[in-house]
This record gives sequence, structure tokens and C-alpha cells, in this order.
Amino acid sequence: MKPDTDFVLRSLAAVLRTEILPLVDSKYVQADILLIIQFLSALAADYESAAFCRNEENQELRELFAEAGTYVTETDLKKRLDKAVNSKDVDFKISSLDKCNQDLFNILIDLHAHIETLEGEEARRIEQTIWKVLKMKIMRRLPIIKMALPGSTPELLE
Amino acid sequence: MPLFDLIGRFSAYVSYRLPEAKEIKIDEFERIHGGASRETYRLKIRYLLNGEATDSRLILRVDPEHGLIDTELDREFDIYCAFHGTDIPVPKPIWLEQDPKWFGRTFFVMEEIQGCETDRFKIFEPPYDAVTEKIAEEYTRILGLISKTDPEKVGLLDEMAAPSPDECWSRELDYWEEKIIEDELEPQPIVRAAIRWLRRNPPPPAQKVGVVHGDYRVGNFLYNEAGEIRGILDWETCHLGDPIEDITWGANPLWIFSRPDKVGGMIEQDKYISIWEDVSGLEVNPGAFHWWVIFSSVKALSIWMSAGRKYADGINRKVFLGRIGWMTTDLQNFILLNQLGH
Repeated sequence: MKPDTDFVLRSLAAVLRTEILPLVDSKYVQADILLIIQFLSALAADYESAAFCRNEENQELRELFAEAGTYVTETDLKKRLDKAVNSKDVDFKISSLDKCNQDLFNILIDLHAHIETLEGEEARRIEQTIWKVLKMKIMRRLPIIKMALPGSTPELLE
Repeated sequence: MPLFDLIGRFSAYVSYRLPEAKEIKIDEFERIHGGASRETYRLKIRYLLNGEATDSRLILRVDPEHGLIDTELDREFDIYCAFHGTDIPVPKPIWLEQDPKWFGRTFFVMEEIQGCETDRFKIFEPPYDAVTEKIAEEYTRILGLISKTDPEKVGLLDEMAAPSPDECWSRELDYWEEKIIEDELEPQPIVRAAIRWLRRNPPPPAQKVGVVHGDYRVGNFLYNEAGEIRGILDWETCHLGDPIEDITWGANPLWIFSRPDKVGGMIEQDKYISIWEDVSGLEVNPGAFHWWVIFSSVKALSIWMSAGRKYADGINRKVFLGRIGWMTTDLQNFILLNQLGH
């Protein structure tokens, strides 16, 4: 499969900017095209890292659950954590990785709420680890998001 | 609806509203970008009235089938009526039409305030960069006036339900949390944690139950090269509540992400609060301010999630909504993490 998908997306953005945008009179449509150009450039960057980021995030969550399981006092939650720790990403389709990711984050929400109710240093340490995982989730996406911000200049193939 | 169809229908509507007008001509009819809750159009209208030529520029706000936020059009129109002619500048409202026979949807018409800009980024570019500070101070002063307004005196108590001072926070939080539950497309651990924090740490009761614009921020006012603010726009989420809600909403870093150290990218937070306190006669309690800062991101996230939901469900395929759904939720989560101290 050549040329690569991210290259194609960036090329489409370049065509929109250099060939189509100059022909459009409507300011409303011009503004939409500019949004699409920025959006395509960000999607190109996202395509490259999408599977890797999801897989890495799922692994981080399983490691967190393994660590937190020792301190969890609710039986049902403990069972869900144990099951999640032993789960695997079954394939690398984005939809499959997303399904695992969402299941794991649903457990994380319940774990986070539970840990907040517990006292002691260990509970606070787990809580900090949860925040670290949540921050990592956002930091992975931030460089891509910045490409699509209003006022940003997306990298284009001219 | 195609633009040419809208022009014909609007022309017929003007004939209905002004039966004595003759030779009605509509030019320069164009859609304005932005305004995700309503479709907004600008147009020029000319006609003869009692033999005299009249021309004016109008703004048409049409209720979309599926907007970003579900709000009542008549309430927004009534708010423009309430503030027009006061020290709080708003466009002159002209007609509210709730009969869907004209466009298939309800709409209202107001006068266009000309010679102004709304773009939130152009404030920092020539020629406006010479008057950015003046714009910022005026922006803050007008917010103080809104907060100072007695809702009863401008007739808004009949329009909107007033919460008691100690339930302002919970009414807003309940409403936006419910929207999050309805619209989230994936688990949202950061906003869930923030909501738990907000419920564990409620703010003090509101000093007064006042008018809250609901979306007072850069991008929602008309400014000119002289540094004047000629119109405050987008009142669709206006409600009665704790006025501190408005100052923290405008201070959210999202609006000018590249200038997070200043409110709206324009004004230092201390100065912003000081001007607002002087004009409104209210005080900012630091604990209350922090609570409403966190809330502002929760509310924003709720709106971005609704955008993502509408786009993903295919009921609104606007590029603007797609982009919000795809990226703004994460950006707002990044801001919320910082606000929560992580």
C-alpha cells in the first residue's frame, strides 16, 4: 500500500489549500475548508500512532490494575481488576483496541472512585498513579491535537 | 435549505411583516461561520416605505434542526429585548418568528452592528493589537454590569427560574452531568473525577442570584478599531445563577489556548477580577472561584461531548462539530487536569 495513508491525507490537505480554496468565493465555505485542512493534517499524524498509543495505554492500565488490586476492598471490583489484568489486546484493529480501551477505562473510573474513599498512604499512592496514567493518556494526543487548533499552521506538502 | 430558497422566503416574510413596503430587495445574503447553536446569516435589505427608500443590514438567527446546545430561541430574543437600550450593548432585536411556515424552523431577526469584528484571534493582530488592553477592560467592565443587573428590573425573573443562592452550583452541575451521561461516546475518567471533587467540595452560597450570560468569552462580542465593544452576542445559555460562573467561564484557557496566562489571552487575572468586583459590587471568594473554574471545564466538556455525539450519530455533520468531537474533548481534559493540580 503505497503511497502511505498519512502522506495521502496531507496531500489532500495541500490540494484543498492550493487548488480548491482559491476558487471559492463564499467566506463560510472558505472557513470550512480551512478547518478541513487542519483536520486532515491532524488525522494524518493520528493515523501513524493510533494503534501504538492504544496498545501502550491498555498495557499501562493492566499494570496499574495489578498494582491496585492488592489494596481494593470491594470483592466485585477486585474480580473485575483480576480479569482485566489477565486480558490481552486480541488484535490490532483500531476498533478492537478501542473496545478493550473502553472496557479498561470503565474499570478505572470505578477503581478511582473506590480508592478515593480509602485512607492511608498506599491509597494516596495508587491515586497518584491513576492521575499519572490519565495525564499520559492526554499527553500522547496533545501534539496531534495542537495541529488542529484554530490559528495553527498545519504542516503541508506544498 | 439552499441559500437562494432562504432569500426568497425571507423576502416573503418581510412583505408579511411590512405589508406597506414596496420593491423589497435582498442582497449580500451570506451565512456567517461559527455559532454552532444557531444558523446565522447576514443580509442587506432595501425597500420603499411610504415613498421613502430604506435600507438596512440585518442578522437572521435560525434555530437549527440539531444545534450544539438545545436552547430556546424565544428566550434569547427576550434577552436582547431586555438589554437593548441599557449600558449593556446588544444588537437591536426586530422580529421573533415562531411559526415554522416560513423556513420550517423558528428564527429571529436583529440589526447588524457594522464596522466590527468578532474573531477571537484578530484581537491580537493589527490594527486591533493597538487597543487590545482597552478591549479587555471594556469586556470585563461589561461583564461587571451584567452581574450587577437586577433580573427583576429587566423583566428576566418572568423568563427564567431563579434558584436559591445555595442551589446555584448544584443546579448547574446536575444539568451538565446529565448531559455528559447522555452524550459521552467513551468513558471519561477525568471529568468523572472532577465531578466527584465538585460534589465533595461545594462552593459557598452565591452572594446574589443574578444574570449569568452563560457563554461570556472572547469570540462572543463585537469590537472595533477604536477598542470599543459594540455588542455582546450569543445569549442562548443565559440563565439566573451565581455571577461568578461567568467570570470563570471567560477565564478558561481553552478560548485562547496559546495565551493561557491571561484571561481570554488579553488581561491578567488579578486585574480582571479587580475590575469585575469594582463594577459589579460583588466579591470573588477564592474558594468559590476555584470551584467554578473546575466547573467551567466540566460544562465545556459536556458541550464538546454533545458535539461529538451529534456528529457520530450523523444528525449534524458540520465540520466544526466533527473537529470539536475529535479533539476538543482531549484538549479540555488537559486543561481540567491542570486545574485539578495534576
